Amino acid sequence: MNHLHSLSRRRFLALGTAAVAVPYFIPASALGKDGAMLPSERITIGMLGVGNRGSSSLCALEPLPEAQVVAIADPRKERRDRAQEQVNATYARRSDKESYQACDVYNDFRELLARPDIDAVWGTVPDHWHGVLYSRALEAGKDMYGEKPLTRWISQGVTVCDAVRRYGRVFQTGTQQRSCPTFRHACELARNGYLGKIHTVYVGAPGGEAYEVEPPCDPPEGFDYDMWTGPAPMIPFDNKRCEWLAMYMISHYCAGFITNWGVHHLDIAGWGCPEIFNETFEVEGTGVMPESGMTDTWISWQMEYRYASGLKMSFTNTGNPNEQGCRFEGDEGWVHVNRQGIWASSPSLLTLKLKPTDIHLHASPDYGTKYYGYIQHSADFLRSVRTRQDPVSPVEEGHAASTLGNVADISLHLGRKLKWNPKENLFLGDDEANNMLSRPLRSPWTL
Amino acid sequence: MKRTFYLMLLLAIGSSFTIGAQAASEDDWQALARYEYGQDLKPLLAIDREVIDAMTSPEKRQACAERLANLLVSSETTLPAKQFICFKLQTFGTPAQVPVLAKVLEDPQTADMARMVLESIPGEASLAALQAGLEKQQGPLLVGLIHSLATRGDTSSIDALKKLADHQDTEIVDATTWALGRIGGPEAATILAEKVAQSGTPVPQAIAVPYLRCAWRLSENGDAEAAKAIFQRMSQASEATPNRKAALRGLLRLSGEKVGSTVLKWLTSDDLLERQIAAEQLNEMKLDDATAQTFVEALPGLPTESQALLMEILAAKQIVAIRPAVAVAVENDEPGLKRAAIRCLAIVGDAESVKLLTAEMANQTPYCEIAEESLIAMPGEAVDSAILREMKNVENEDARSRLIEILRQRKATVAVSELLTEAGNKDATVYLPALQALRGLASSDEVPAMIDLLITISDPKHHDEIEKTILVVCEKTKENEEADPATVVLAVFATADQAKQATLLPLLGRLGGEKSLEVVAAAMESDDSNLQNAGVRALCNWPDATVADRLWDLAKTAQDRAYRTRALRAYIRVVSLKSDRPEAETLALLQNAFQLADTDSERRLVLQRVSTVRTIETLRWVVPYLEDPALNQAACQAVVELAHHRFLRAPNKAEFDSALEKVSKISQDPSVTERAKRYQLGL
Repeated sequence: MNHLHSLSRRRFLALGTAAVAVPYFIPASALGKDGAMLPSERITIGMLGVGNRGSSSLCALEPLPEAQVVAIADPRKERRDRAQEQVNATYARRSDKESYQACDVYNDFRELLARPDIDAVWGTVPDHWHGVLYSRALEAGKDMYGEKPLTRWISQGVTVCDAVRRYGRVFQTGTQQRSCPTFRHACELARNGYLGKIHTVYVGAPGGEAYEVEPPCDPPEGFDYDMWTGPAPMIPFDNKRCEWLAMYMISHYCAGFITNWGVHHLDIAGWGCPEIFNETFEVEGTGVMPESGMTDTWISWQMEYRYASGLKMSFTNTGNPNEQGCRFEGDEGWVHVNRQGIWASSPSLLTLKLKPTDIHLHASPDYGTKYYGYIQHSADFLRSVRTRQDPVSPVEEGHAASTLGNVADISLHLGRKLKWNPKENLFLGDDEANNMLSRPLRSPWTL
Repeated sequence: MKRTFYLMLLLAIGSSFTIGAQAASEDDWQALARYEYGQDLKPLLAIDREVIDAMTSPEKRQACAERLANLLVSSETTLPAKQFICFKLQTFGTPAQVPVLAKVLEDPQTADMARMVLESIPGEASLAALQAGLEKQQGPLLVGLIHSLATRGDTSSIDALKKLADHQDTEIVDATTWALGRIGGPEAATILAEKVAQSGTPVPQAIAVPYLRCAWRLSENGDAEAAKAIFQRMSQASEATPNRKAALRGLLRLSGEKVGSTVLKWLTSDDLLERQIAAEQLNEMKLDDATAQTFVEALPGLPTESQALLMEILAAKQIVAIRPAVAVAVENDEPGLKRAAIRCLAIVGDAESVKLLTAEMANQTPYCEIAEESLIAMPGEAVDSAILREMKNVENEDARSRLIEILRQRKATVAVSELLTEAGNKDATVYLPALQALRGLASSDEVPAMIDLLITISDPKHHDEIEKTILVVCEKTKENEEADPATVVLAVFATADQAKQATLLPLLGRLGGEKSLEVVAAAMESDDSNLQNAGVRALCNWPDATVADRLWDLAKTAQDRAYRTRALRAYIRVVSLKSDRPEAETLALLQNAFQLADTDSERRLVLQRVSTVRTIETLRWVVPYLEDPALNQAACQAVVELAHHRFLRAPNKAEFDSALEKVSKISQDPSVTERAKRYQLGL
């Protein structure tokens, strides 16, 4: 019944009225009869970016009646129009009407953020936009579900964390594996000593890819490429650079999979073993980058993180040699978890029930195991919007997980061992490395 | 394709590099200077390697940076190459390159690239170059320069920025305001305060955000008074809500050790936002016992609305010391306070609190639903027993059924015996929740008693519900996955007389299993018509396809038409259940059933179930029935069910589109029509 132990956001909003018409506590069932929510209780959502990930977000929101998407911003007309059609069809079906026309579209996200009727926004834009766009949304008073990694550059992550706390906003980082029971169970085993003292954590994530060059051409009609580029350097448009997957392999837009994908399992490493996030560590390793083509991020890598306590973390691309996922090794056992399943040194670990006195990690609402917890993660965010409590992936931990990938990238670019202090968000004794925590932004964008 | 490309790269030319790999060749350097957009990055990536290698020693770094800087001012170097060089210099440029960059800053084509490099190079020289640029640039380039100076955060830029604060170009004014907020300090705060004074209320976002940012910087640097002045200004009621909230949070942060008393004060404020922020702050605070006690003691003296709010927050923090105050508040006539108190009992209530809540239910007050929720959530086994006592005493049938439901949700096993009694109540509003509760709470020990109940109940609906309950309990309590769930029922069956056996046979059919099948088969061969009829019903209840052949024989050969119909419907059901059977075979079995059916009702049933076979052949078989007036609505349903699966629809788009088009025209069910249209759109 832990879900009852928090206050509803709507309760805060309703403080001005003498009679409170809505319940004080979280449970969705209490917010309307028969599980259907009152329209006034819906959380109004603005979608920022409706490409591959944004479309998935819309699908994840479909089964959640507490959310209502009322606006979409995307610099591609074709995409925002298609998403608008999808949203309208969903709500027409939900409200049993022939048509539904209450979702507006924008090319410029700033127009969407200026709307006071929008409670929360979903940020599913390319990584190079995260820092600027998330900051603007938070300053506009919006709660936010922000896709991972938290930001392309480490210093931007600090700014976003500050904005969340200063403006008192709810922020869910899109590291949705935390909302899967298997990942949570693995972390609870590690946290509660069921594996003994953890000495090594192995993390494996998909490696990068190289792409052949593509000749520049005009952007398709209806595609505001200047807005898409935003704070990143302006490079003439071609047919690959804005598309999945090449976009993730070009350093102007993304650090590559070392951060963009790596953050998922690095996040699990830190969730199960908080020392990984919170303590100073040394990082060094080797990496491989393409020699030709159009991309310039790491294809493969082998990194090692060392902590003063003796804890080590190995982070490689999958099969080099670490297996996909996150593996905690302690002096009494191990557990390995990824999206395909969970394995342990003893089968009893997999069915182990935690004691009441154990650390019970934040559990997202249960919607089955489909989509690696994407629906659960979305539902958890919406719950937090009501309760004003941190969701399962709070911004600081989203930042810490993203930083683990970004410091690896910087270490490889400098070709040397670095020492990272997470409390100060600085490398110790290395000005050159600290100079790589941020990157100048294209005018007029700023943080 | 991309993966193949990468592998070919690796295998053919070993074309990826590791740190410490060979440096760029002279050809690479020459190719860099001629680089154009759209060309292969090969020479640039080679230079990148050299840059990484150069970062391992100051001498190498200096030499490499110098060489790139020289290319930057060469008229032979293309603009894309200069852009690449600037990217590299952003990470490894040194003050030695500043003179070159200052020159490049003057060229409109390269100014923004140079500006970004200068922003990244630490030291006085680069800062001075950026500041000097303020007087020479305009438009977007000037905006960029201002942002770069903001990033550098040096207060020596404030004088220069001050001159731009009233520029005629609003973008430059906004950029300057923003920069002042980022740089911060008393001087920036003064300039921003003037802008705020000129702006009127509410302060525009372009000024409010940097002004607040400036306040936080002042606060972090220990100038609490200056920060407080800004937060107070921005917390005025006329300001935009997000900015007011941020300012109020800033003020709370500045209150330090007095935060508790500030929260208490704001909780009683007339200002809604102050109450919200205080509540949020208290919600976030970790309260030690002494602080919690201070709040508890303050409770009775607060206005009712504030009392309600504080009570809830303290309850959410599981501070049980508020229980006496809550119990008093439940009796209060003020609706908001009473409602809050009832809700708080969910967390801090105990067995003694149960009567307070059941009284609301029995009297059907406007608070009975909240009272139910609190009863469900209230912790402790003693609460289960207290609710059970109340349930026995309550006379209102509706209230009793609600209490049964509450006990179910509480998983109160202590109530099982009483629930068995209630399951025999003739009133459906009582027996249905009782049976529902037993499904969750009963063990195999209760099955014989439930069978006794089953035999005494003749009402078909009531009888059916009891049968389903026994089924659920047997399934739930079997020892392992392979165990026969019918074991307990079979044991009772073995010692029962014929009448009782006839009653138990349909239940055994629902449970299935080899041993049940033996007794069912024997019953079907019996001379006793009751047993025979019960045996057929049992076979038609079977939960899986193990009896498909028997059902098929019965559907074809039974003398009694009712038996044939019942067996055919059961056959259609079981063969369309999920199985390891090849899909083509399942489709053929259903097609055979369709042929055997002698009424449209059974044919429609086949069409309804055939969509479980997710193949294109199924669609092709269904489509012709869209033309049959007696069957077309069932066919429409089958088409949309098949189309629901993208893996099937996408590769057979043309065939599906054609079928969906037809469905959207003839379906009489609006939801089917809407789905058909949606799938046609590819959604």
